[in-house]
Amino acid sequence: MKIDRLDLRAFGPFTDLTLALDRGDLGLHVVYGPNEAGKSSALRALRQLFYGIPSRSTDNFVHAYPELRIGATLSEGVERLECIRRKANKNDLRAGDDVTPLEPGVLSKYLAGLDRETFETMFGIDHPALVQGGRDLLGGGGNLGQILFAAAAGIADLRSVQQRLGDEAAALFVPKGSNPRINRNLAEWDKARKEARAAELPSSEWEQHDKTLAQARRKQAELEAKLAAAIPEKSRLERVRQALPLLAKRNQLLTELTGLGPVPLLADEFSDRRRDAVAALSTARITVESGENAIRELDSQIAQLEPPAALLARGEAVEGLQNDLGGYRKAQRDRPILAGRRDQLMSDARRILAHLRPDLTLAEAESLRLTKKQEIELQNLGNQHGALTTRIEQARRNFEKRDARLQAARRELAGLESPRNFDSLLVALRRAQSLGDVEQDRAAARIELTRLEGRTVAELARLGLWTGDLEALERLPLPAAESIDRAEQAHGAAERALERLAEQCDDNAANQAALERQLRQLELQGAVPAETDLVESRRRREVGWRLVRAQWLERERDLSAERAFLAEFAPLNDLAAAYEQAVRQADEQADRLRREADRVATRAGFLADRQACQAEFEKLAAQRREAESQRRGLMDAWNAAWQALAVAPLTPREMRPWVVKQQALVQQSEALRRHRTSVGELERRIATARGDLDRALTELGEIAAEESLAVAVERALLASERNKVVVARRATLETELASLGPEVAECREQSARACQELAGWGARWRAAVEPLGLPADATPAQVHEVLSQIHALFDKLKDAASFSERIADIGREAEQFRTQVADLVGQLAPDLAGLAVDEAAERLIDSHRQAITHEARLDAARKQREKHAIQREQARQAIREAEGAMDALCQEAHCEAAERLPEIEQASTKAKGLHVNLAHVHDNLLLLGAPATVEEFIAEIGGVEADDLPVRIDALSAQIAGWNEEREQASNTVAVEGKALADMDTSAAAADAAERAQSLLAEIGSDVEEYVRLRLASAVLREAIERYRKKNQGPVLERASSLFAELTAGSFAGLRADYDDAGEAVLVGARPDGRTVGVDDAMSDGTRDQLYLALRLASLENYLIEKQPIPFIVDDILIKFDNERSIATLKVLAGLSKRTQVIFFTHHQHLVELAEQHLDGAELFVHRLEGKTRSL
Amino acid sequence: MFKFIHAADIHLDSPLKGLEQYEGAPIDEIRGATRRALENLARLAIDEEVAFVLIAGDVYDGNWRDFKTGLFFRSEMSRLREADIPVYLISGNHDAANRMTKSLELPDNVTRLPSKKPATVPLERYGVSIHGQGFANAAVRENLAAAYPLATPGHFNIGLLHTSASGSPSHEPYAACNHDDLRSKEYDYWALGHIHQRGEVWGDSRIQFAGNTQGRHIRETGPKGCLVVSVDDRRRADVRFEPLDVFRWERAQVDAGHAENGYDVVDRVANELRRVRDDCDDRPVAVRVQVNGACRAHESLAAEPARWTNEIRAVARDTAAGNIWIEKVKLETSPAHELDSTRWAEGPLAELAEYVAQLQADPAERARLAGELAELKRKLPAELKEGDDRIDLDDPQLLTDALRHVEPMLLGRLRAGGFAS
Repeated sequence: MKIDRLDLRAFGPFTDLTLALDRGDLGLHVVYGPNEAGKSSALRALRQLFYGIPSRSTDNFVHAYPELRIGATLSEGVERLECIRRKANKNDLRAGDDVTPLEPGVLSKYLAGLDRETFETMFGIDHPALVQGGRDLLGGGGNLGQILFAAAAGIADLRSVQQRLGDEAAALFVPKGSNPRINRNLAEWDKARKEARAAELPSSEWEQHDKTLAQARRKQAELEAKLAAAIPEKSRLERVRQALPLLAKRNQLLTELTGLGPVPLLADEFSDRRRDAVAALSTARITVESGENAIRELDSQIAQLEPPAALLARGEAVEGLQNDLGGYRKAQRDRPILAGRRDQLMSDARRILAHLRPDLTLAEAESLRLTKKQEIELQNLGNQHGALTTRIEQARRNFEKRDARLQAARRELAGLESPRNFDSLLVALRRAQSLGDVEQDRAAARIELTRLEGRTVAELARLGLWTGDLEALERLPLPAAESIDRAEQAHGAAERALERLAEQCDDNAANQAALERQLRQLELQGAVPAETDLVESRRRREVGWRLVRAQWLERERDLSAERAFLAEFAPLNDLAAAYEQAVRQADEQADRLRREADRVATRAGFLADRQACQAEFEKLAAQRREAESQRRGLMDAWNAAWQALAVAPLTPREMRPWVVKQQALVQQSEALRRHRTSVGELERRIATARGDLDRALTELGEIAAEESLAVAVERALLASERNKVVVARRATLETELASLGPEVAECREQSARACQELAGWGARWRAAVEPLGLPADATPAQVHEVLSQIHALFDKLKDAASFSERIADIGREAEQFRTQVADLVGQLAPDLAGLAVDEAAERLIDSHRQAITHEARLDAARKQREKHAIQREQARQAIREAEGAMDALCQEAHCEAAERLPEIEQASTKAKGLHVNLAHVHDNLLLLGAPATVEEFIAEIGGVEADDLPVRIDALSAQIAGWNEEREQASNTVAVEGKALADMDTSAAAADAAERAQSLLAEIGSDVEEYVRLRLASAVLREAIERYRKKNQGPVLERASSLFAELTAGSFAGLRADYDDAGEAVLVGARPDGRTVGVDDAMSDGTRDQLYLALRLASLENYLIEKQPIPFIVDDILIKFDNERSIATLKVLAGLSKRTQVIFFTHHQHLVELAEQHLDGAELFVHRLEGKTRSL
Repeated sequence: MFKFIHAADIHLDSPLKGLEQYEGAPIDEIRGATRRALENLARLAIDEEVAFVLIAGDVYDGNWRDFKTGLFFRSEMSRLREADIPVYLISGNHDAANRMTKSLELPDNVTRLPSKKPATVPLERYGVSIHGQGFANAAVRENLAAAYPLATPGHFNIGLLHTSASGSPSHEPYAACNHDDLRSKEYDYWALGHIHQRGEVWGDSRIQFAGNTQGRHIRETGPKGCLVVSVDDRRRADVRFEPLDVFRWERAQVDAGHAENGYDVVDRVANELRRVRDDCDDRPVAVRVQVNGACRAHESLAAEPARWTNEIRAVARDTAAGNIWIEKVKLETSPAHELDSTRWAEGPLAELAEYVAQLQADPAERARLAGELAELKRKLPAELKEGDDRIDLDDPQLLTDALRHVEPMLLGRLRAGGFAS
């Protein structure tokens, strides 16, 4: 298949871009697109044309999805296909009309049924694939099978595919491993199975537990019944044993109680109460005594303290002095400072006034004070003055400017030239322009005419066979073409007949020569006996016989005849010998004729043939002569036909081109005439246009000059332009004049109005400044200055007044303070009268504070005394109460004197102790004997044999302990078995483990399937690689070897198959000197890339031997090649392009240049993608 | 008027099969599924206030020996006892094979009908006669039904029978019988067990298989449970199915026709999974995904089946919030267009295809190749070689199947390179 044309109608950045790839047989097409020009888009378009635009295409940034179109024309042998690929889910392939849907199968025929992946891997190579292919060679250590397989299939990373198959399988299973999934899961599965088994509960085990539990429960019940009888009996006996000592103690207590006699049983707190009463009595007595001492002490203190009452009565006034004293002292300090300030201000005021109005005193200064209204009036007027003067100035300037412009416009208008009528010029001009560049045309026509004339003359001279001018040539009565044809045919026939005869003569001569040669050969083998020789021998024998007979029988000798006869048999000189010889010779001849009959026949045949040949030759010679004469006749007729033309003709065949040339000259002559006419026509038009223009210009007063039409047109254009400018300018000036007149008048009026206002202002100003004593022409600035001075003056005076006021206040307050102090001193402390007023005040305050302190102390002493009096009274009351309590205690103990109380208390305590013990014994008996009463219990004890008790109790205890132990065991068994059964109950541990085992089994199953596939795939691939190597190693390797030498520009001589240490076939590069370089680190990356390329191309060529060609798409594989190897590669690709179309995409200009420099133009076609919408 | 439940084939604690565990699979949801189903059965009986429960055999799994399974069954029967619901059951082939059947004492509300000869239990309160006979051993070949007594006149007669009926390819042919055998007894209802697929037999609505209560592998798809039979005063039976299962099994057939790439296929699987999920009433479900059809995605799928299986698992997780367990993914797509037979006439890939074809045709060469798997074969447990999804490395079919995947796998991987687009 070949791509004739690729139409990037609407795809990626392209709109209607066409790559014409049909030049050359197949050709190496270099498609150059600099960055951004869409090289990769074009490449993608090519592939998507064949195999469809993917649904998520990104090539819709210019054309929307429904508009995407890639068109192409493909050819395969004599068949052609025009198709368009668009983006659609179905019917995305259409015929060239973009309407008719095409079956996808149509395209697949052109692609030899290759699917997309195969097409891309086998018929496409790009730089990454090249590099990957090279790297794969390195990784594979040159394994020949892998290399051939990968290169032929276009697979760049075969080794990593193999590696991955192996790795993935190893991740699943390794015979001795434990980590791969299958290994791990097998172990897990085994574990889960064991767990399930371990968790299983066998029926027998459950039954066993169930039985044990039942037995234990029964035993437990029996023992509990026995214990229920024995334990109470043992308990009863033990109680009896415990009660025996209590009974003895009871009897003893009763005896002791009787011995004490009658004793009052005092309450438990009796002793405490008695001790409390005695203590209270003694404490109260001490309190009374100490209280009286304290009262006496305080009374003496009170008598000594006596504060001055008068001073305390005026306390508030004296304390008031304390505040005023500080103020008074500060005011006395401030006063001189204030006076100084006031004096300074007054002096400033005086200075200002002196400057302002030296005629006035400070007292008179008040006359200068202005009312608010006056001040405002002054201010307003001041402001107005500026505005007024500005307006006047503005009005004046406006007036001057406009007036100047008015004058200038008037002057210019007067100077402008008067308007003229240009109509006729414009008409002439338009007409001249409509002719276009007629002079140029005329020049061109003249040149062409000259050229034609020259050519005609030259060709006329070259015509030959005839002399004369063109006109004569045109008139030549040439023979009709048919006559020439006829003559040519006749001549041809004659010539051919002659040739044929000549050939036949030659053949005949050759035959004769061959016959001669054969005859000679025959002779060389030995003389061939001829019939004639035999005849001759026989004749001689006959002659001899006649001579012999004559001599022998007739005795008549003919000596001359004998001599002649003998001469034939010299050196024999006797007739008999000669006759014998003759007879022998004749016999020999006859014998030889018989013996060599074949050779004789052959020779006779040859001789007959030769004779026939000679006869034939004679016949041919006659025919030849006849033909010669015929030809001569024809020539004469032919020459005669031309005689009238004074032409010595050549052969008819040679004369035919002559006639053609003559005809051409005749046509040329006509063309010459046409050209002359057209030049004349052009001349005429120019002249007319010039005439019109000159006339129009002259009318307008322009001087006409000898010049070309173009210059005249230019001049007319200039004149017309100039006129247009003048007319326009006049219009502008007239408009300007019309508007400026009124504006000037307006300006003048404005100026007058402003002057009038200024006069009014002057009157008001005079009146306003008058109170300030300023003249009427005082400026607003002056007035402003005076006003601010006046303000300063009044400010100073105001401040001075306020200081005077404060000084006066200080004097008043000091006097008041002094009066107050004198008053108080007079009343309370006349002894201070002589002191300074502030010192006196201070002393007075001190005295007052002392008096206050004395007063407070007196008060405290009085309060304390009162407290002590109350306490003394309380203590006296306590003494009375304690004495009453003692009396009550004596009464309780039935005694007269309090001194006997301790003794009675002692007896009472003892009796109470005995009673308590007795009650205790009683209670214990009651407890032991319950539910019987104490009396009943005592009676029961009486019936028991005390000495047997311990023995009976011990026996019973032992029995109970034994039973208890047994019951404990049974109970434990119940608990343990019960728990075991409960645990067994419904746990699903075994089922869970079994489920896990199933899950693992499922996982193992999937993994095994996957593993099997991977291992089989790996083995199949390995085997296929090896098989392919065996089949293809020879031819592919041989071709790759020479390609490799070429691609490395002779750095390598080729490739060789070798064997590595493991006996595997490996590939090595061979240097020109015979050294080998392995496909490992010894080979540079670039060289390895070239090796891979060589293998790819060799495999491709191998494929193309039997298969239809498919274009080979190359995407910029040379970017890492140096120039030398790039050139070599381009040449190799050019070589490949004789077998199949090669389309080489690049965005490197220098590669395009290299290709153009080093490749034949017939095989290289360069396409540029620069203009995206231009057709290339 | 009364109701009863007809259940069968509980196969208590029989493990679920074929579920590979993987990240995101609903592992917890499947634990003890057969037990949960039995619990559901008991709850249903109590809620529906049925008169009695019939179990037509196969409570246990034949070779399952854990007695706890029996104890669990007993505890559920005790629940029914507390609700005063009697249970009548017969032994199926699995029960007969299981020792537990004999050694476990069941509560007194449970009656196991004898295995030596058919017996009849009359329930006068409802006017019902239950006829039945269990399996005496694991493989009963005779027609048990033939010896069943004729219907008790005036009663609602029920036949309780464990049978393969007239046969099913996936079940052992035990106690086989035909329509006439059963019809001739003039019973009102036949409660059958053994066949795990629910439904009436011979088009006769009075003869029903209850199916099993919980599906346990991919051949037991769809809802599983029991039949609730309501009998009205005129002894007419109305049969209603009630699901008991807690985990379902479904097949998802996905047509990958014209899919451009693997992700398109995954999208289609997701759509199908959504449908399955919506049909399962929030139950977790194991799905076998089977992808067929001619598509361009074929090579990519074939090249890396494990990867695409994982993609499908992931999309299942996203689609059903952990409620779908992808049991297995069967990628059985074919190339988008039939390969041109002349295409591989030359070149390495032709060599490869040729060799694969030779392998398919040549058992000796295949056997040589199988030598690669000898190490693995030695390690695989016998359990893997059992059942319908067995993996038997000695089985020639396994290699043939694997080889079918090998060529596209290799082509896909080898040709993944080419131009960068």
